[in-house]
Amino acid sequence: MKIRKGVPVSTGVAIGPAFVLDTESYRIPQITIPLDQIANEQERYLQAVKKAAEELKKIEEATQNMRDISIIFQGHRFIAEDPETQKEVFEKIETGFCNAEYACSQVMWRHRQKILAFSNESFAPRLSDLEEIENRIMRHLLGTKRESLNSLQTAVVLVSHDLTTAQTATLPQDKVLGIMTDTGGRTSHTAIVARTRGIPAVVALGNATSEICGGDTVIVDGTKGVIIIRPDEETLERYKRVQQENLIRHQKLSQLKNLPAQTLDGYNITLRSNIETPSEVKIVLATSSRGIGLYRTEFIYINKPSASEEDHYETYCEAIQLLGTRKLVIRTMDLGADKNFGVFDDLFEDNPFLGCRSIRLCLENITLFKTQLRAILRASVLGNVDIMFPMISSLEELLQAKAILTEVKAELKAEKIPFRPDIKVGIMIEVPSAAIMADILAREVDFFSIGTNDLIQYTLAVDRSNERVAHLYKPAHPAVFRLIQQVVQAGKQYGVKVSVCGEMAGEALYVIPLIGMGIRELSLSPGLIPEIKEVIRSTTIRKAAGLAKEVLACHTHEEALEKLLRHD
Amino acid sequence: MDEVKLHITVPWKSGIHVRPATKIVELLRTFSAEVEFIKEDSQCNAKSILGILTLAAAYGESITVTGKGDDANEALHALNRLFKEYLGGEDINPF
Repeated sequence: MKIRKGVPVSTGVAIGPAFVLDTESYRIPQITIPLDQIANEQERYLQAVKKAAEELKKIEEATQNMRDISIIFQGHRFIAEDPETQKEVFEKIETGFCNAEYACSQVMWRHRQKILAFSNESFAPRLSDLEEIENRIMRHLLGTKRESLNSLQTAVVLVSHDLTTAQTATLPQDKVLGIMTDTGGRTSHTAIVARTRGIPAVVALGNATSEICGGDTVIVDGTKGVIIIRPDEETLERYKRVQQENLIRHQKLSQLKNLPAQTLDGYNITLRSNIETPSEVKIVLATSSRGIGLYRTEFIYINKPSASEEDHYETYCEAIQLLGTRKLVIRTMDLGADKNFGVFDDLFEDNPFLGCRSIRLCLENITLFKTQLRAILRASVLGNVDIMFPMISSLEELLQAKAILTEVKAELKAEKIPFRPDIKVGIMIEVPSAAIMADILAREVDFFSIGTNDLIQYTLAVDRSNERVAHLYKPAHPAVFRLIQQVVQAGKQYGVKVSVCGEMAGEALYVIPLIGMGIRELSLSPGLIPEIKEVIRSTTIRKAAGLAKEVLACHTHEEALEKLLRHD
Repeated sequence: MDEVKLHITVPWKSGIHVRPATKIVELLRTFSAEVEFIKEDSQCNAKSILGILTLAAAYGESITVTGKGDDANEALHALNRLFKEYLGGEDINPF
């Protein structure tokens, strides 16, 4: 049993077989076999090796006139047939009562570890070659029953060094019990997706995931930020109990589903959800949310970098159809050099967070921007749609974006295509300059939505994904609260609604001071809604306002945090 | 059964990497003898390519080869030839 600590990003406990995404193409089952099956499992392994070797032999023969290449495959064949590996696999089957797949996976994993420890790389076969050979054997062992990530029959705990944005976006809906990655942080993409789907997840595990072998039983404790590899009986039992308790708590919270998010003194808070794809609307509706407060449309480009007006339109229609008359706030695309999805060629910047991203990129690529705006406007007649511009940092930028919207409206009108002329327009407040100028910007918009993740990052000059400074990313920093309060006051003065759609909106600790400052609308991961609703239902605006006042008067983050933690 | 022994020096500039190891295994697989490589205090089955690679034998290092079995003598002779063939000056990286 091994215990490793990481950063908890999505609460809950998951127990299940590991699927190591980086090295395995197929899920590796772990089965305890009866004594009389040992010889049979060993024979299955031999047969799989034989078939793999035959395949490699064919490649060798086909490349015969290219000796340099042919010999590589000969080497691969010898690796597949390695007598010592075979001895180890046989032993593992015999002494561990393992099935051939798991035994092979364990032995090959140990070989990979050895290679990783090699000081002189020139001797070692490439890791990728070893993985390829293992996969070749595994394919024959698993036969037609093999399950790739996209055809999983059994639910797994996903283990990976890193998950790409595209990988997380296409995860099979109900087959992922938990997620663990070596990299990432609380606001990384994996974390956001895990929270949206309610999948327990721990990230930033260093290189702990290399200690896990496919099929191993693993536990993800997404509340404490701990993972346990090959747990002992006692630990496993303890976590099963925790899982049971969580389930009971979850059932208790779900009873809140039809109750309003109302404070004890009768103030209603609107809780909406953040989504990335229309398919998530179903998850949202299950927690009885009042619609979508933030639809991150850039994910349309993940599967189709050249997405057309129709692609946008159809995607919006899909969401609206599920939502009916519930609110859908469509944020125009928020792409950048760090999140490009292949839309722009050669988009490389040393400092993408301070670069040509988001609305800036749209204003530079007006055709692309107009394509999206046309689709939003066309969809606006079907439901309750608002438009939101991200990353506005000045009045000029906002006016420019609005002018383009007016142009698109005129074009649609000329083409006699219906749209809602009075569609509400809002902006994200995520750049400090926008928060500071909120009283000026308020005159030009219908609503503000405070994107706390970026607002904190830009205000405190902390790259949240940089592990060296991640500890300086402090939502409770007094500067952040002051900026939020400034925005709330500007909103009040000009009759502009202010909501919060960043991670802060989903954390019990910050929700009370936020509503205390006057926020009446939050948009968060759907999975967090029951918990936040419970927090709201057990406080009063009076108390919340008192806490907000205290926090705003703090000089340091530590002082503010202490006040938040002490508040009941 | 007698054990036969042979001392060799790694002739390849980049050590016994994947390609020479493949050649060694290819050759030894044609014999039934058990052959082992010993370098300092580590040893390996010379028919196991992963074993040989893990030995990480570098250029100029000496290796003791032991053979057991009916054709051990022939196996070690053949192995000696394989190593000798590349001892000449023309060999930098034969494979």
